[in-house]
Amino acid sequence: MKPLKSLFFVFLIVGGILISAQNTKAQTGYLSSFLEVIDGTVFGQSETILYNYSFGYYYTVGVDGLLYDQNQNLLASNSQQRVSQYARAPTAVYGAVRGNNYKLISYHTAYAQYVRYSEDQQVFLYQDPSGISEFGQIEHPSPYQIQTSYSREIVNETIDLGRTSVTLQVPLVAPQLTSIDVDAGIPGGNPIQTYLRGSNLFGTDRYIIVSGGGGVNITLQPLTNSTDVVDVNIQIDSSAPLGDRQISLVVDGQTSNSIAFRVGDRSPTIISINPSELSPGESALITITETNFGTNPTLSVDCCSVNVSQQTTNAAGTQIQAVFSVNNSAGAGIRNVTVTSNGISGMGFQSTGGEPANSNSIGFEVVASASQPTITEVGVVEKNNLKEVTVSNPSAAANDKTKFRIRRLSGTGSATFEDGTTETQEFTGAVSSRTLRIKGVTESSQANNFVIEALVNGSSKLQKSFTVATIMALVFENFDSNYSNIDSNPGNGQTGSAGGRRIFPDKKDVADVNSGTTDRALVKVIATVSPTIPNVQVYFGSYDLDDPSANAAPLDTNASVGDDNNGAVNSSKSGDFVSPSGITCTASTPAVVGRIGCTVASGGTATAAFKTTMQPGDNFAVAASLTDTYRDSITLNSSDGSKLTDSANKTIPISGEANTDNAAGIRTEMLTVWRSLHIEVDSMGNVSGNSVTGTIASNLRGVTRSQITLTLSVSTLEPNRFENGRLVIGSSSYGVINSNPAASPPVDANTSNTVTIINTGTFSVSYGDSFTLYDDDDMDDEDVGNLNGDQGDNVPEPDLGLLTPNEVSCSNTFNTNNCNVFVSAYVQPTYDLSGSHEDIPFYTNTSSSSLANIRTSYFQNKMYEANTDFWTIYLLGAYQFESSIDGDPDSSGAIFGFKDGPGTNDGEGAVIFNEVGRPREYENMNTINPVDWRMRPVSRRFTVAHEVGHLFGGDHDDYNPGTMEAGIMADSLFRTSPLFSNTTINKIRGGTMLYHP
Amino acid sequence: MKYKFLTIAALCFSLIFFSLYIVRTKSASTQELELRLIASKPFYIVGEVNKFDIKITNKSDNNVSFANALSAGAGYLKVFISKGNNNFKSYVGSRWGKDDASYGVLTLKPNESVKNTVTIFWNSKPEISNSSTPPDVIKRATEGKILTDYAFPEKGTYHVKASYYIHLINQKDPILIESEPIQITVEEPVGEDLEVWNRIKDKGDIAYFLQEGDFKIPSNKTKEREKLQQEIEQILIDHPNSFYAKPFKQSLEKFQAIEEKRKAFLEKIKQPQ
Repeated sequence: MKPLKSLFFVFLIVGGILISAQNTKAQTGYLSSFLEVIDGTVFGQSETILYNYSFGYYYTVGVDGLLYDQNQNLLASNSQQRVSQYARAPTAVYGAVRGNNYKLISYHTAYAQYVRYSEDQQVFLYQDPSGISEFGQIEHPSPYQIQTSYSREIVNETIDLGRTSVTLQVPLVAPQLTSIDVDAGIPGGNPIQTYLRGSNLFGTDRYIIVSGGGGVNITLQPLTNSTDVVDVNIQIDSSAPLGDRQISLVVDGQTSNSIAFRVGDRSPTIISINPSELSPGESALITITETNFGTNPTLSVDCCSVNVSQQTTNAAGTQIQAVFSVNNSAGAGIRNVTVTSNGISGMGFQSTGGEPANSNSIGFEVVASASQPTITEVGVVEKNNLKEVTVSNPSAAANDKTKFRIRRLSGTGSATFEDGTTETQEFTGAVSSRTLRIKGVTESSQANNFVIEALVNGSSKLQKSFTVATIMALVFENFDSNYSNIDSNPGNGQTGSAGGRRIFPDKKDVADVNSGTTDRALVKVIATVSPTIPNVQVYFGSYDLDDPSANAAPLDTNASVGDDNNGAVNSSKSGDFVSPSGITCTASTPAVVGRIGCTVASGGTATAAFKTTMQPGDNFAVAASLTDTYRDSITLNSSDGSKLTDSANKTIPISGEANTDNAAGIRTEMLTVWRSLHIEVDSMGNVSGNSVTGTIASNLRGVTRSQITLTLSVSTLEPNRFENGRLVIGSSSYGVINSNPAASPPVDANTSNTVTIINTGTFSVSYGDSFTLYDDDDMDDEDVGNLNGDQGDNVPEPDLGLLTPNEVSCSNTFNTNNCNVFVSAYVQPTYDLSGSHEDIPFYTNTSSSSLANIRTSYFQNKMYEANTDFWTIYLLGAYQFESSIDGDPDSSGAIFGFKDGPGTNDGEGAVIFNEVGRPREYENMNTINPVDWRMRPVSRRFTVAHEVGHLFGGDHDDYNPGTMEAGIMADSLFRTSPLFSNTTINKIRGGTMLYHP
Repeated sequence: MKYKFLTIAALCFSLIFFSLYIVRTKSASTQELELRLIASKPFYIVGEVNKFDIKITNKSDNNVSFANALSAGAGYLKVFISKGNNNFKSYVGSRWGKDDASYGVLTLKPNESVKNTVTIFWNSKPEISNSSTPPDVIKRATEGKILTDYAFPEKGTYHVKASYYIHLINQKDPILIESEPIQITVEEPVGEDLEVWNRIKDKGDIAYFLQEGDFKIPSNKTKEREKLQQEIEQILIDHPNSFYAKPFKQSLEKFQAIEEKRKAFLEKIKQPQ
């Protein structure tokens, strides 16, 4: 049989009053000592030695607590206490004799329970202190595995652990006195029932010792079990001499220290007074706390105008209450309050040792007059505006007269109350919160030269300074030195459109685009405030003025009312204020678009950063005021949106102009957006190859007919292309007849392999003779009679006569020139792009795909063409469009110009066909339109403007409302005006089309 | 008396002359010029390039001469489309109204007609992506216009009508003639064809490509063009037998021919002059 494995656990929690403990050796293994805890104090050491695995039990300690006296007589017992439940032993013994010893003996017993297995047990498992109930290796590791086949026996044993004995001793300790509740009395007075207080005052034999004089008899009251309080009765003989006595207490032979008791009165002492202040005219019950007031003490105040009445003293003589009344005329200041004792008896103060009957003094304050007028801060009063201030004097007496008056302290300027004349406002009695309105009449010459003053009964009590200020000027300026995009607005040629300022908010040039950082839609708005008052706020608001150039649709859909811009900033048609670096302003709360407040700097100006829209012709004004409420009252005039008015319908003056309505705010001049149109211009190079060569396939001799049809070796001629052209054979030249498709049968100038010439003499030709055939192309009309297909002529650039970079409006005549037709839309052509004036390879007929290729290769600024901030287009001077529509023959029709891109908003540029755009071609139009083309605006330069109009979304049917007049956007066939119709202008300005050109 | 007779005679002559003038003018009025819009077929599939004939017939007893400006590029032809109601919206096709041309004269004898074919497929919708544009401007920019890339963007019954500003010889102002609306039905494909349609129905660039055989994207935007070309080629790879495969192939061939010309042009200009 292998050794039984075991665990051993000891649980010790001992409470009680045991002071020391001894232990005996445990029966198996050993227990060297164990813990004794008495009321939380640990006595002795415990040391638990676990048995090895050969044996184990669990152990419950029991203590039999038996209390004996020093003669081993049993006084109390409490046996079989389980330690785990042992909170306190019931061993208190009353009446123990000081100096005697007592003994507490405890018997300690262990109750053991263990399990034994009969067959080869390998592990003993323990589940809880009350026994072993489970198999399995759970909490306590063991190298052995218990098999369920093992027999199992639970063994219980009781083991005596030993005995402890405690010796208790009741010590001899001297009593200690700390105080006596009543520490004085007068001779012959009533007996004093009071208490001595201290420690160790309990004993079986106690008495009082009085020293220092006779006549004081102190007796102890019946014994109590208290160790810290003793009742005493003090009787002072009428003959007892005044003076201090010493009292000691003797307990069981031990004498305490002494404490003083006086025969006679003590000086009173004031500790506190509450309340400690009143105002003139007030009265209140005052409470004074003290010591030694005695009976019927006398309360006094040392100074004037404070009356004391209704005085009472509490029974303990520790508190006086009295009504203090302060006269209305009482001056402010501290009064001294003192109490004079009349002794404990109230019959007179019996001084002992020279102590005075008077107490110390304590301060009682009469505070200044309760009439305290208030005025809220004024700060700045805007000229022609009202500023509200709140005044009050709620504690003014009924007869007090409170006057608020406006007074100028220095310099010049004028301010009144609201009516414009009154300078004072007077109230009698209490003044609850009142609103007064100060009106700025003329501005101050200097800051804070006005006050609003409060006087009570004629005496000045309070002043609040203020300034009457005005915004003297409100102007737009370039945002900084890097900006130069503001100048005078020349207008768009319509009455009323000129004036104010002009801004180009777009990118200035290519470098500007590439840097990408400069927002040229920004403009400074500078308000100059007079007088200079740093840190004052100026409140700015922006407005979308009425379009001065039109009052009817499509340009202006709301007549003379404003708010008709086509662009927006942060959804605001009137632009918005922003806070770029260097400009610190504060948006209103909650933020409102087009509203901002900015602080006046030391120089007297406040600067806001205003951002315009990007649409040409949009216009703005900024108004400003020194109050946000007035700024918010400014609106567009309901009948004339070019004006701003306040809520009283006063017109806000334009900076620099007369303020005829005496309005408070000020506004800027009109600011109008213009845009630049950057144009790259190229043209094809010299003409070459605009002819057909071959050989004659006819033999003719001596023909004199006026028209001769020749057969040619080529067979790919475009029918009738060479009408009115020229055939050259050797040194001879012949005109080609005109075709007449309407004739019956039709007359052909040429077929695919024949040509019909005009003969004026005797004509001969041989088979195989070389020929050159020219059509009637002559773009500069210089080859009349000697047509040569413009061989060697340079194709000119587009005629920019209507796109000159100026602000000169074009006239409504067919010969207008050297003007800017886009002025009407506030757009200015600019020719600042590099890459212009290139010679493009010549094409006799240019297809749309060829044009696309040309743009790809020669439009050097193509990367900017879709930039909405940098309008860029490409104009190409070419020769002719595709052969099917190049005017050869005349009946085929001819394209004068061509805007690229398939849709309405994707054009990059336009091409002008110079050969088609010449009188010879235009003449065809006379057969359709009754008005001679020569009297209409039809030529290359009009075609250029027309095509650029297409790039802005213009259409041939951009009719002015109610008419069939589409202006320059009408095609050449029906064009009667060289100017854009309002419909097209509206598109250019972004009124209906939302794209860049 | 003689003067009185002469006056009466002059008046009568004037009346006769004026009457003749009125008759002549009337013979060339809108009432006697008929504009008809003719669909090439009654049913179309969404995404199918739609061809329509515009036909003007002289219904008068006299010859009528006018500018031969029937091409859509001239800008006098307008097309309006409504779907399921009478709310016609304006359609603008590729290069419609952008050509400034000198037109020949076309004369129609009585009952004679002239016809032009137009494609009504890719729509040049107004650009409304600018966030800084006020709502009223956006409203004006979009009202009355088709706002989709496809003229017929979904299945359903559509009504289409046309108007034409016709410029008669020797009359300063054009006159407006209008066609009766015609009805066409646009069907939605099924199966594989529907898969293709779902891939292209929101892509205006593909609509334009199907119509023109070219890219609307500018040639300098090489990456965008390559991406679009890859997308188109991938559709053909994924659905080689779909209804849309043939028009895609045709447009792709046309596109490739244009590209070849473009490359040749670029090569040409690289050579020293």
